[in-house]
Amino acid sequence: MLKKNYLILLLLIGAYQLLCSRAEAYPNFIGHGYNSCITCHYNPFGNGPINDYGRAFSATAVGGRGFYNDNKPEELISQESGFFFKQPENQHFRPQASYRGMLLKQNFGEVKEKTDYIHMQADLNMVVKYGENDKYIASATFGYAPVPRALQGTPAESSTKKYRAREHYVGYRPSSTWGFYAGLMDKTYGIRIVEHTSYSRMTPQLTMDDQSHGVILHFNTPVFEGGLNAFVGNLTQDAPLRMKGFAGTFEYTLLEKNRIGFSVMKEQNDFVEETAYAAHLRSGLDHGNSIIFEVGRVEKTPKLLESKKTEYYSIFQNHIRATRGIYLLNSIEYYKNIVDNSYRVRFGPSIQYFPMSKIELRVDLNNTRNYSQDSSVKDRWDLLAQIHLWL
Amino acid sequence: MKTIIAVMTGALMMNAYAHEVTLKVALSPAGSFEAKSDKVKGIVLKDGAKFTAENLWVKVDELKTGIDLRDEHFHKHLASDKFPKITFTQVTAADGKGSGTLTVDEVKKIVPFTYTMKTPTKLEVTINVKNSDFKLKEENYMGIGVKDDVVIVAIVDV
Repeated sequence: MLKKNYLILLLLIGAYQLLCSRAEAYPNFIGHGYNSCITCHYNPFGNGPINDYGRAFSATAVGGRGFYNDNKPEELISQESGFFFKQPENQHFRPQASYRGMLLKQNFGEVKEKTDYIHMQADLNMVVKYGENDKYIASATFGYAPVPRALQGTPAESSTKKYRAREHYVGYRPSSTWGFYAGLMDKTYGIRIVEHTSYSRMTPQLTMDDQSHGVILHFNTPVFEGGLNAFVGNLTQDAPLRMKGFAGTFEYTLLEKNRIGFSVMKEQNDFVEETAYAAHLRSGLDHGNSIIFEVGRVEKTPKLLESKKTEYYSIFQNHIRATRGIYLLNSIEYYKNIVDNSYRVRFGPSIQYFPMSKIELRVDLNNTRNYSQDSSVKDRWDLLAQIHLWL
Repeated sequence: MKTIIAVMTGALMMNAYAHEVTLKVALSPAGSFEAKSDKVKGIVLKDGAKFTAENLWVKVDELKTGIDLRDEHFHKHLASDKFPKITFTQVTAADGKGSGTLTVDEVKKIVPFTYTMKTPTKLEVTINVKNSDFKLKEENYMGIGVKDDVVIVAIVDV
């Protein structure tokens, strides 16, 4: 019975990993001088709703202005970045709605090309804040959760929840240096990049639905930023599946626009124990350009089977600001499984286009190569076209 | 003789337009931005190991932060319509340090600085100042504030 549960767990994890990104965090914007996520996000480690400044920055620095009248003042564009294109009328409530969809063409250009459209995200969020410098905050996000494709068409599909709480937490910041948060949040580990299907997110199991109930202590100065996270798993899951443990990520500022960091995470449930380590670099270059790099090691030890899995991953990504509204990306990813000595390399270019406030379009072309001593798999190209809308 | 004067004047004029300045501004609770200009004007003279400059200045509107709206706020904050220039006058320096009178919005303050020789003809000058010293009001835009400390880094041709 336990072995069966373990297989179901692995299936669920694999199924989630097949889903694609729910992008909200943009660590690449260190290229604009924003070393820390907290400048633009309520959550100090990014992801989730952006604050008023983040909205204004998104509208007037990230978003293009080709669709606006030439005479429209930047200040007005900034004001219209609020919910439903309005400047906030009160200090305490900040609603947000967000949608992401993706056209996925697997095996692009091949005879067996397969096309899907995935509604990745349809979330409603409310932030309540109070006090000087938003000393007290509460944030809750509820949204659509697509049924994992591995479960589609199976008996498990009907029992799979299609809506879920993405996060809900309360926060207290007695000063700009310290913050305490408690609730359902993403774990503090590694660079929280947009691409949830990257090996750096999938390998340590930090994808779109891996939030956990817990507490986070955040420390932030211009030179050093860190977070410690103790968690008890997502309480909506069955108790044996909940991953309990701790995580921490720490960054040090080098030469003003560069951050080096390391992360550690240790977690376990009734079926598996996982230990992960990572080192990373985020480097801001002039004119909004940046590079990020992360390398990590993950060890997974099943409790019911005599096996141990050690994996390595890395990601390198540059982010080039071609002009206001348009960014070009190139990503190279690597994954290695020590058990069978197989490894994968994924690389490809992307273009990210923010035609105006509240709209993001993105196209990625990925080439994935699998290297294994036991089998030979043809290289694969995938085309991903995403749309992201928010209010 | 006229040709020599013309050539020397031309050389001095080129020298007068070659300096760069970067204002490094920290945000609260986190983040930073830089306001840059490569149109700092004025002449820096070298006499042995000593450097002097009578008047270096930059137009506030020529300081650019990389974001149009932030430029607007920055220029407004410095009241560029009333006080279009930031000046650094009566500058003397030797042995890696010096001082001069910095004038922002007509508020004058003698500030010390350090410098290093980047090349035989280029100095990198670093000045630490506070907004409050120049009676600049605290700034906050949509919850993000500007910290009091500002670092000025200038690349100066001599």
